[in-house]
Amino acid sequence: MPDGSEKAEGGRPDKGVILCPVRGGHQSARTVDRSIELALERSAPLVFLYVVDVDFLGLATVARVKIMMDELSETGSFALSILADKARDRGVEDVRCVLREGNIQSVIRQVAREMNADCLVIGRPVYTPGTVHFATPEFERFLESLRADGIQLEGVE
Amino acid sequence: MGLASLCAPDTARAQEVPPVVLVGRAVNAQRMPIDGLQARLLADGEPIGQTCRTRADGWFVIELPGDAPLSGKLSLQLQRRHFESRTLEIDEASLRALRSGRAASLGYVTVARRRTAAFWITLLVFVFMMVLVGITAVHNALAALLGASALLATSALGHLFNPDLIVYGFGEAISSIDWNVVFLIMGMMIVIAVVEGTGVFRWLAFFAYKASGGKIWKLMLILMVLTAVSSAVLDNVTTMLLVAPITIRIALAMRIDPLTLLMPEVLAANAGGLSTMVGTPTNILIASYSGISFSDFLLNLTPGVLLALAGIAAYCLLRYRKHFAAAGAMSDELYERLKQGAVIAQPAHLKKAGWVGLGMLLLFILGELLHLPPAVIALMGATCLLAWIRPDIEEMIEAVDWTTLVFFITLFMVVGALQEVGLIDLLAQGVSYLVGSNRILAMLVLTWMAALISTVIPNIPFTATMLPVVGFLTASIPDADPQSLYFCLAVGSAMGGNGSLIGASANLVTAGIAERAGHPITFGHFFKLGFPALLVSVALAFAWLLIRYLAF
Repeated sequence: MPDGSEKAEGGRPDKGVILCPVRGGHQSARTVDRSIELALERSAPLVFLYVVDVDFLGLATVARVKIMMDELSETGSFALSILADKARDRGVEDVRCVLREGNIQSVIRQVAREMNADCLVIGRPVYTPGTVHFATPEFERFLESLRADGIQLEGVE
Repeated sequence: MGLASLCAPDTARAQEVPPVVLVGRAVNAQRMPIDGLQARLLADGEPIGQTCRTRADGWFVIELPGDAPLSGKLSLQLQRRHFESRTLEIDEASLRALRSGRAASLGYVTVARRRTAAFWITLLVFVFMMVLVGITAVHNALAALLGASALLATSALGHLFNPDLIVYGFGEAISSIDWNVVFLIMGMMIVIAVVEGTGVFRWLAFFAYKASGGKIWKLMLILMVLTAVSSAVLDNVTTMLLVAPITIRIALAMRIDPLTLLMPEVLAANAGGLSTMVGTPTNILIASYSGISFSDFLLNLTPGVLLALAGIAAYCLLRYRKHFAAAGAMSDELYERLKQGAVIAQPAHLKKAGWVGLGMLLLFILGELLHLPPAVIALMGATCLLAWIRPDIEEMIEAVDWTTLVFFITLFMVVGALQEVGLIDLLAQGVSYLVGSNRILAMLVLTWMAALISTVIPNIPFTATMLPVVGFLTASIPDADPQSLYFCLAVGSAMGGNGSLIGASANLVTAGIAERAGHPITFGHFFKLGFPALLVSVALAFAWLLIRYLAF
């Protein structure tokens, strides 16, 4: 599967956006709320990003990547539509959803550049088996690299 | 096997004078037969006749020409790697028999184990492999491959320095692989690959939601039954791969925590797989080693599995009771979206897979009568399905999880090394010391030991290691049913997977999927819910085994 294949609503916004990479679960609730608040404060477009990755399969099986990608894409798309509805209900006018497949860090950086993101709202991930992208030191390095790209970071603990 | 094929005598001479025969059975300290032991007769310290090797059942037959010189002091020399060399003086009665041209039997001859450097190296490699697998530092297959390679390399290079460094030869390593298990798993993988592409699980889960009428407790129970039944036919990992994502979508649409449904599902999958021979890799291992048939698994374990599932269901209802009122009404839009996704993509494929699956089930049940090994049935089913459906063969080959097959192949090689150097004997001795000849105690110890150990180390290598130990206990406990102890191991190792996140591959896959959906399952979370479920389910399944083997 090529890195960064996209399924998105709408094209590239005219002005800088609030980008919120998110999984969509209850632990993302504060991150989502903060991104909605910022979008309302700045009257900026809000983009929810869901990245599909199946690295965790390496712990059990390597033969079902395609079917797992399909299932997680469907789940991600489902979660994004719920988040978009929530943001619209709260008054955000321009809400978009981007769903991509690939390495989480590369995809977030890529989408942030493409969307000309002014601000990236990101929560601190919880470690579970198979989550290798966001071990604490690596997460900090990742945030530093985004700051170096000139992206304002809004971290949500 | 005929005597002639064991030790071919000089045929021309043998025709003139009838040969004399000396037989015996070489056993270790636990009275388990020793395979491949060299046996030869010495007259006054000089070898006479040919050297024989003991068979798998420990018997050796030394055939001597009828006119062989049997004067002087006659002794039997037994030698094998990892055993003390033993020279046994032939007793007077046997000597008289041989000299008068009759056969003589030495009965059981005990040969003691010798702990060589290879013993300690194998122990070290095994512990290292288990740690790697346990902490999920590398893939299981890589850990087992490292173990097997290290043992083979030590044997191949070590003998240049010291013969005691030899664990086993390459041929012996290869012969320790149980190809029945490997081909059975491969065949089942191909059949499952066809089924998983049909979208049947999306349809079933949506049907479960409709049948529940939006009540979470009802949905939880229906999904538990669905995963338990599926995992009895498919493997647990595949079941959870297919059921978990749609479960999360349903939970999101109902605005409930997906773990309320996911956790009971994975607990049910681990328990449900136990009821059939092909439901869990551990059952496949046990069936192949012990020869227990598909029907025996089904008849003797299903009642225990049903009891355990009822216990898990009651426990989950109790644990999640506060979540049941939290469900919100599903919006029409989300309902429609779920409905659109719940369509069987390839109905023709599903129908054909259903017929082939039914045929395989029938053959598994009749396999014993027809003398069809399970691996042959699985391969027949896979081939039949491929020929009937004609899918893209490359896609099907990709669907076979080769890493799992490499894991099994190399794991068998490592376990073969454990047997070769005497580690299994030592383990058998320890367990035997613990349980004595008390079969109830043996059942109790095996079940709970397997369950508790499987929470901290993956159950497949544990089961593979324990099989010869169970074989020994079955043979040594006087009134033990030939199957009961194997079933105890099956119950403990399968249900033990529920005790912790790393206890079963299905748990790790479910945690991975849940994390991708923003609902991480941590070690602590899984343990808090899973461990009590383990205690309940193992206790109930064990109670059934006691009833089954003590009351009937």
